[in-house]
Amino acid sequence: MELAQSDLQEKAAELSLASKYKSEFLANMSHELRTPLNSLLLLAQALAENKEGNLSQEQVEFSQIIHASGSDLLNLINEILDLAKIEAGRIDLRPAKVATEELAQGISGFFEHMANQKGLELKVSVDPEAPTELFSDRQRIEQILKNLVANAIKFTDEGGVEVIFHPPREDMNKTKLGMGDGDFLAVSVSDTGIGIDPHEQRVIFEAFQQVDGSTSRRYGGTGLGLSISRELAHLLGGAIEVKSRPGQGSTFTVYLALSATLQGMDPVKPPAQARPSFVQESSTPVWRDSKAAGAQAAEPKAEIEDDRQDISSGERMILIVEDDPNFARILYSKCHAKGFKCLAAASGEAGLELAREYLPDAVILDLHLPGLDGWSVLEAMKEDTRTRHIPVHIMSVEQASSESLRKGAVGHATKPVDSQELEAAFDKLAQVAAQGTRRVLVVEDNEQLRRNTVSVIGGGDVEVDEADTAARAMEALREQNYDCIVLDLGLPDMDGRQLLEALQQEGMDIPPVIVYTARDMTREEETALRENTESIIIKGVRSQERLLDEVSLFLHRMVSKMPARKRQIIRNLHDSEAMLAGKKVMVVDDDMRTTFAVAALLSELGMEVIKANNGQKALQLLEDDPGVDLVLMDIMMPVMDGYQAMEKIRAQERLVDLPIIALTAKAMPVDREKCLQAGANDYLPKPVDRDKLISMIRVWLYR
Amino acid sequence: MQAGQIEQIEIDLLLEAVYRRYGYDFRSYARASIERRVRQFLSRQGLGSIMELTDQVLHDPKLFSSLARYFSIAVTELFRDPWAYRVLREKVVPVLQTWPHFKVWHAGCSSGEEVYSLAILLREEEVYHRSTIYATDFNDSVLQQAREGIYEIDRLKDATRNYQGAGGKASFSDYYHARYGAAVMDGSLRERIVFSNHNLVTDTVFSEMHLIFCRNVLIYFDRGLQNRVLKLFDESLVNGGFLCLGSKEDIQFTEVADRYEVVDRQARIFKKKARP
Ligand SMILES: C[S@@+](CC[C@H](N)C(=O)[O-])C[C@H]1O[C@@H](n2cnc3c(N)ncnc32)[C@H](O)[C@@H]1O
Repeated sequence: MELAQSDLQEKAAELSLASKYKSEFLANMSHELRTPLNSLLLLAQALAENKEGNLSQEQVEFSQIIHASGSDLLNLINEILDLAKIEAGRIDLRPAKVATEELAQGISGFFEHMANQKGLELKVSVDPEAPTELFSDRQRIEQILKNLVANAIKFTDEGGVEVIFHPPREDMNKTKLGMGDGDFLAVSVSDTGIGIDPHEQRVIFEAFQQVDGSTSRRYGGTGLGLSISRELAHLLGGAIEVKSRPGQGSTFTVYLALSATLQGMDPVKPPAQARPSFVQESSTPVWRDSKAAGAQAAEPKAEIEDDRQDISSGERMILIVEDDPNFARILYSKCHAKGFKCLAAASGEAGLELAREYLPDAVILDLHLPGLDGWSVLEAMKEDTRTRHIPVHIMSVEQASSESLRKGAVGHATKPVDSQELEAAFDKLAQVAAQGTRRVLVVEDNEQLRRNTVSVIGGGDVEVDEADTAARAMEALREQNYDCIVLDLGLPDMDGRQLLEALQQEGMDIPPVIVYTARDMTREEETALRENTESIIIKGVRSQERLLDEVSLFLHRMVSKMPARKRQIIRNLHDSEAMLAGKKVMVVDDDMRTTFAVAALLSELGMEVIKANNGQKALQLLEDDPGVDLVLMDIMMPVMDGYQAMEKIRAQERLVDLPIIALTAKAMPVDREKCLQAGANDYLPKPVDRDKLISMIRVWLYR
Repeated sequence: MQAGQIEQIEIDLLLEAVYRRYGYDFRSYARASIERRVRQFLSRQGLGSIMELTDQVLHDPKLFSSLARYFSIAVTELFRDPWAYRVLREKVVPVLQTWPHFKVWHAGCSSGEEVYSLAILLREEEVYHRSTIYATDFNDSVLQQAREGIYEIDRLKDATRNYQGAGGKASFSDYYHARYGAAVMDGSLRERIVFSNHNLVTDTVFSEMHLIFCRNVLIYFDRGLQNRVLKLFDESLVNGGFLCLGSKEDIQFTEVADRYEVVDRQARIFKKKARP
């Protein structure tokens, strides 16, 4: 007994291990398949573009066919991977509330265009008796429905496709369909297409089980869609059935459990019905082959010829680290087309060596490499002071994520890449490589933190100077031009704010300042500080990332030669504007962008501006400062909104005549009416138009 | 002329009438959905034709509000798509923390479940006090429900499960008080929330935002309107700010696509790239 049990356990363990291997194998395999497809698709696309104009119309068409077939193949590979995942139980369901109407909306929105282009009518309707919501996995349901509708459109040339969400019909045979108890939503997809022979109806769901290979091509889209749909329907506690007669169209009906939790929470459990599994059936022969293929891939491939014999000083060059010689060739000619010389390496080690020896202007890096992988190459380059400034663009079958940018790459394209992506990658590299050295001053008294900051932003084309006191910072600023300052507020000799004031008093042209501090601050402190700094970053787990973003933003801005903040706008004040000088305006808005923009404009006209960030503050300020001539009042604000504030102002005898202009994001006539009722004299739509604002202020101050 | 084409004209006229009479612009909503909803509304109201409906809507504001409610589906739930909240917790909040204060905008907040969900999350991550939250919708009656924060008690089971799935740190019952068969969201969650009417079709930017939620709203709009609204969001967001869409919505293939990087595709969270 015990023996039998341990035997069983062993078997089960073996089985699950085997299935794990299969999934892993399939995942690897799909990477291996994508590599040659990458070159195939790119070259076919390049040929089809016929840039040199030397291909005949027919040859261009052939190239387009190669590209289209390659894309089909890619889809098929993705589907195989999908099906394998489902069969191995490696798919996690994410059940949530799903509204029937939203599903209907999704389908009609997605397919309307496609159906219209084929001259078909697409009708999507929801039966009033249909359940209005279900608890299930929206994305998976949509995957099933999209597949069915896409097929229906594909196999229908005349007439239309109708999708109906309805309650299951009386005659639904739960046992035959292998469904559990409970309530269901049914979705029927009917077409007026070619229909399906009765004996073929059974097999269209079986992956690779078709009696006649052509069946899948005729009925199954790219082949596996229906199998995937059926598996998914089972996972969601439902089923799919088909009714069809050749020549009269088909109706596929999906039944979806209203609560998919039972099956959904335990996805590993195989569905009740015994079905042939394609992974088991067909794996044996493929298995052996591919192991061999896998082994081959690990051997370093021969490097392609490159320009290393032929580089004279001053020439721009790009290093390509790529083990697929075909893709390397494509990149090689692209480099030339872009006016770069090209170096090529087929392994991580060789790539790193070339990078250190030649210090190229830019690098294109694959991640899956024999030996040292791409990530390690990138890391090693970033650690080496001689190579860390070289821009690196990743091109890999691995999905792009922010990981690559965080590790220092300037971009990440996922293979297969198309020609636009390739173009964009080269442009990006060229652009980054063309920027010269920038200079940043880091002012921070804590040595540890300062070093940290310097290592985050420094390197390559960014040179960083450090200052540990305000006095040192001022010294540095007098001697050097900086593109950006990173400033800690708590300095031993002077507060950061005072430092800024002191610099201003000296009349120094202060570069953009990024405040980098561990202190919490109140809204008022923030507003005051924002007057003469570009941004404020509070230190924390993710603050380095934002610091890097903001710093590169300002460094980049200098390249595009944005007007310096100091540029004086010389204006001839009209007489009518001159009368505005000396008047006091209160701006009430919690949006700093608006307050600053308005304040800057009004100060330019010689007006005095005070600010409040909500209605309550505004009332307080009015109490303390009787000299306010006019109020600009935002509506949507926390604590006390604009309507309330205006009513409260008007309720005070001495303020009944104070001109108030409401600033509102609302566009309806009724909304504007509401402003006036609350006590505004007039209103202006947001975003505020400068000329309109000035003329309106003039009107209300002239009275 | 076919019946279908005549129906198109009737619907055009209905939408035009609604716009001119009430200022609500449904002309750029996804057409198929509007058609379907009009047909359903007709049969529910027992009206014979769209023209009849148009005639009555023009003179009956009450009928208009029920029609408008029919046009904009308001389903929502607490911690809907829990995984999205998990991603928010792990990848977005730590970045929000780097601003001294930050603003959140729930555009199309419906009855407010989403707003309270995020408020709970922000409180648990100890950043609520630094936030200002705008919750807007163009439908005053759902907005009123949002302001009250009172929900049916039998929906709390799902909500509790979602809350846990979203990586909740406390007991969900800490956040509501059950009374007379209803659950009232804890009033302290409302402290930093500003409820306001805002119509995405006609109204404009009103403040600078660090995080914008607009989930399951864009699906009801046609492509042109989607682009308009996404641009509105783009103008509102600070550099490095976040946009969170519904699980069926995406910025891929829209006019703003290249200005964002994907934080998490499944959660539909995007980050505005820093640019000068
Ligand atoms: C399906 S609900 C989404 C609720 C919530 N965001 C969620 O995802 O759970 C859609 C909401 O969008 C609102 N809406 C539709 N059109 C709008 C518009 N033009 N302006 C503002 N809100 C709108 C509707 O009133 C409704 O409350």
